[in-house]
Amino acid sequence: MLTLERVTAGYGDTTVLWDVSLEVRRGEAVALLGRNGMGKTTTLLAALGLNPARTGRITFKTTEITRWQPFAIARLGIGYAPEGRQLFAPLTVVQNLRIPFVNKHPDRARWPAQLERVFTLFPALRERRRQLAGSLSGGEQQMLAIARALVGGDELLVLDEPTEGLAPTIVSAIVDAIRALKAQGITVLLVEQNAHTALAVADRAYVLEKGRIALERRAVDLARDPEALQRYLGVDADTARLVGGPTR
Amino acid sequence: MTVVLQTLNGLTIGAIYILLASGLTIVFGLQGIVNVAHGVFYMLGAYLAIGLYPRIGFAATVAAVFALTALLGLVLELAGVRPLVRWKRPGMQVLVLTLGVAIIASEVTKLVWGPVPLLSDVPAGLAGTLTLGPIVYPTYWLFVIAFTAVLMTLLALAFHRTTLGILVQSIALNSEISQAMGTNAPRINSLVFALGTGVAGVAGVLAGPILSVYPTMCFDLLMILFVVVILGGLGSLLGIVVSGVLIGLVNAFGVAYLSGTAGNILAFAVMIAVLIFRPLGLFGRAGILK
Repeated sequence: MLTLERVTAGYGDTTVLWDVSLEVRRGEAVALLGRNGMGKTTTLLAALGLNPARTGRITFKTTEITRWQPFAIARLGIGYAPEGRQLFAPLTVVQNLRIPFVNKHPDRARWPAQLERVFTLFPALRERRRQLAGSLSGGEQQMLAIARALVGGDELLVLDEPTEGLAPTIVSAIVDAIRALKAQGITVLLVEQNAHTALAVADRAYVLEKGRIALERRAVDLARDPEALQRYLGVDADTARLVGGPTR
Repeated sequence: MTVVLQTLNGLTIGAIYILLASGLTIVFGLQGIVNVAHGVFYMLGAYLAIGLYPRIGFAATVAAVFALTALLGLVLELAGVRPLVRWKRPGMQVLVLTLGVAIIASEVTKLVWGPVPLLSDVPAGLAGTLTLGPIVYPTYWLFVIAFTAVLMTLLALAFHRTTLGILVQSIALNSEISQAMGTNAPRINSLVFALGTGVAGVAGVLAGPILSVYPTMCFDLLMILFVVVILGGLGSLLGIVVSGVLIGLVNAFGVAYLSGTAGNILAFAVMIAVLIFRPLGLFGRAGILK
């Protein structure tokens, strides 16, 4: 569904990504792992057109989108929940959801159904619908960020660090929600520093190291490879298993 | 009585400031650019009104000037500003581009209409004075205040109540994220830019009978407009309404009680005094339209 071929990207004079190739297939959940500063977010920004690739080729379904403007890419049905939530804090919950809806849905009559769908997934948001996004708790803000990505992002959901800085109970709620979305057939590309969480959700994982793809594995296999986990991600495999690991 | 009359004078000139500053401040809030050519649309509106008003009447003049200056603003945005913005570092380049446009426009105006200041007529229906108890005041000046109040109320409602307004707010808050949510920010930015230059044209039509019409008027108001925009807080709609009234009053009272040049000097003094305590202006918060 989403393919990156030999993508190079960076900021100013600095090159951050080198020849990154990866693929997300329809219905799959793919995790992009790596330590801090290895180029995970840069990869997403290139795919979304927010920091366009310098060289290489990015394809969504059968369309090449390498030089497309970000809004045009988003309108193909790609939802994005950025790192740090980046909600429109002075706008209400409903207004935050309304923005991707009006942009991506020519049929305005589907608005109640869309709202119902995200409120079913995140019941906490229903009660807070008239509140300002900035007044929500951290967990609710993350739910809103995912909900905002979901409205109009039915094809591919791109989630950047969705569990960052959240309490463990909230993390499991978010993980459950991502699993539920995957069960609905939504394709997910997930960036995580927390390998345990990511491998618990994903089918496949890529590991980025210093801006290059160092590894591509099935999530189950990577979770059982203590050496790789330790080497690329600095995590202890035992801890990974204790916290849950892949469940299927 | 002079106090009341000077207050009304201040509100009238403040209304013109507000109309002009609204476009400047919103465009800054959305794109982070300063359009030095904004006064050109104001000047054009004033000159066109002199020719149009006797032929097609006042209301039609306002509508025609709005349409024309909005269209010209759109051309400037699409042909000049947008390519520079896509170039990623637009601040200084847009400043130079629009300054060039303003200089050329001023010279062309001199060629077409001559260097001598003109005065446009007060619209027939709004001529004369209104008597409110002991106060006698020109009807047209009161009309300018009321017109601005209504227009700014409509603008504020549009920003907070309409879908397009919410999209505009989201671009001002975070343009990249808004685009990642599918907002066609370049198109909305162009539309808002054109709306702003259209309102500037209308401000020119309204100001014609109050201030004189001359080929460098597009520069003379610019400094005071920057004071209004910065004092209000860049990107803040509420800010320019408050600071527009404030600077209008300072100007009127300064001219009435001190001297003809005191108005502008006092305006800058007020701005500097406020900025010492509120560096972002009265209502300034980075990137927020209020």
